Amino acid sequence: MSTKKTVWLGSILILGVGLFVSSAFAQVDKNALQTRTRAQERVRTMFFDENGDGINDLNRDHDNDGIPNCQDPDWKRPQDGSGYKNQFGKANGGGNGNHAGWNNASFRGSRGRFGTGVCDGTGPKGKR
Amino acid sequence: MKKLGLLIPILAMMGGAAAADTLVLTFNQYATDNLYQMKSAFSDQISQIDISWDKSLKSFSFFADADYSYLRNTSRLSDLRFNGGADYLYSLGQKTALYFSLEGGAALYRSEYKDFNHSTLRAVAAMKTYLAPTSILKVNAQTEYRSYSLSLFDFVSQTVWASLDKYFETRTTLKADLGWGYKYYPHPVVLTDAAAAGPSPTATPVSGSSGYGNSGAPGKGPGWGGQSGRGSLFYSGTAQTGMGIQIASVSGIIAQGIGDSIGLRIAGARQWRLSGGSPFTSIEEYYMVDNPTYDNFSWTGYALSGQLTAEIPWDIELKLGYTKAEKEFPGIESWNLDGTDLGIRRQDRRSQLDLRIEKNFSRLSLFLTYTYIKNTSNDPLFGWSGYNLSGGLSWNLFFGQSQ
Repeated sequence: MSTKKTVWLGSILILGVGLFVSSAFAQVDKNALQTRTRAQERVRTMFFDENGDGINDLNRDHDNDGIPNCQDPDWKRPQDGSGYKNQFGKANGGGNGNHAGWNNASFRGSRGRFGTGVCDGTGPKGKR
Repeated sequence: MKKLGLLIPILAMMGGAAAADTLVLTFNQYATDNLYQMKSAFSDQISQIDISWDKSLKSFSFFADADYSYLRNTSRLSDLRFNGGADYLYSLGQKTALYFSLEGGAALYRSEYKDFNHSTLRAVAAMKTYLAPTSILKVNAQTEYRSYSLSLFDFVSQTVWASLDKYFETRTTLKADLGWGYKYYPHPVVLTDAAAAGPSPTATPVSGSSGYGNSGAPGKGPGWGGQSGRGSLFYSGTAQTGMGIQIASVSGIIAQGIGDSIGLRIAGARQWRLSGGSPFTSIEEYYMVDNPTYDNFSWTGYALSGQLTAEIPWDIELKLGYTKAEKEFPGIESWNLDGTDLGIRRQDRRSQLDLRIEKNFSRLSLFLTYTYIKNTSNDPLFGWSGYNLSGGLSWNLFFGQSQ
């Protein structure tokens, strides 16, 4: 087989494999996109408010890019639980209904707490 | 040698920081026009610096915290605190987790308030379970032992509370809490030789004390014991029998979202005394300073509050709140200003307005708050009004692995 024919045959083979693989990946991407869209739609209609302020914890946008945390691929939930200071409720990963969201630190916010935390805010330091 | 003493904690801090999963540095500044929250107002400013450290090893986690608070006008109330411990999280399937924690801590005040110095040991067991994807049940039990320089303040306490949350697609939140607590004071009286004095609270209030605040004599300016103008916060007696107080509470929250960025909340709490009473003759609540005579066990009564939360552009959060509380202090008599016992139990009514603005960046959090308080009491010493202003920033250094 001449070199010229080998190059042509090789090119066609590579192109064919490329087309097949890209079409397979496109199918996977499409499925993933559909799954993600369904998940986002589900999250959009869910309401989760662990700190009881009336605002959906899933709609907050902590990295300020305009995309709510629950839909934001850039946003990583803080794993420390205390995360952003004063946001114990947001950082404890609630909202997914399973244990994937909790960690040791998410329980630490309740130390020293008694009752709903309806407090007068003037007494000892809040974190104690 | 002194330099070595400074170097060791700095090296320990740097070593700890290098090993941390999370390191949070916080600086807060507070201002108040009534530090002691009494009729005679003393303004002050408090600067607080705090460092929190956290390291996770699978289900185990170690944590530590240190903070220093400096009071500009009443520097003798400045304090240094350390706290550290370990906790463990155990998952029971996909929807339930158990949590256990053991921690210890210490607080050190300057010499005039050395009676407030204490060490603490605390154990916590908690459970969180998802009854449904939008319903959570939490149970928490906590035991605490605290030993003070002045043994009169020593206590052991046990609290248990349970809360149930339910969230609806109508953006409505319902929360209900039940709580129970018992606090035991093993040394509630100052021992005297006076044969006539009976045990515990039926005994005589101690007049004058050594080493409390700057006063010694009642009514001479701000200071521990002397600030109230009554010279003492305890009873004396010939027998040292312990005494306890048992309380129960119920509270609830109803919150409603209006659109994505406005939330309204109404909350209420009611607390009862089931048995016992306070071992003190007077209860004093200081702004941002732990006074051992005042805590959740000190009062019965109710608190109602309303709060409006708004998420405005750039993810800035605004909160406007109003709280109305009526508290009665079991075992605490009201006195008039010249020191005569009025023969009635102390009752306070408090109205409070809060305004808070908060901005969070990915690793930095900023806040500013303003509070106005009006407190009326059947004990004229505790009739006062005033404001508090505070602001702060938290810098969160996260070194751990993201999930």
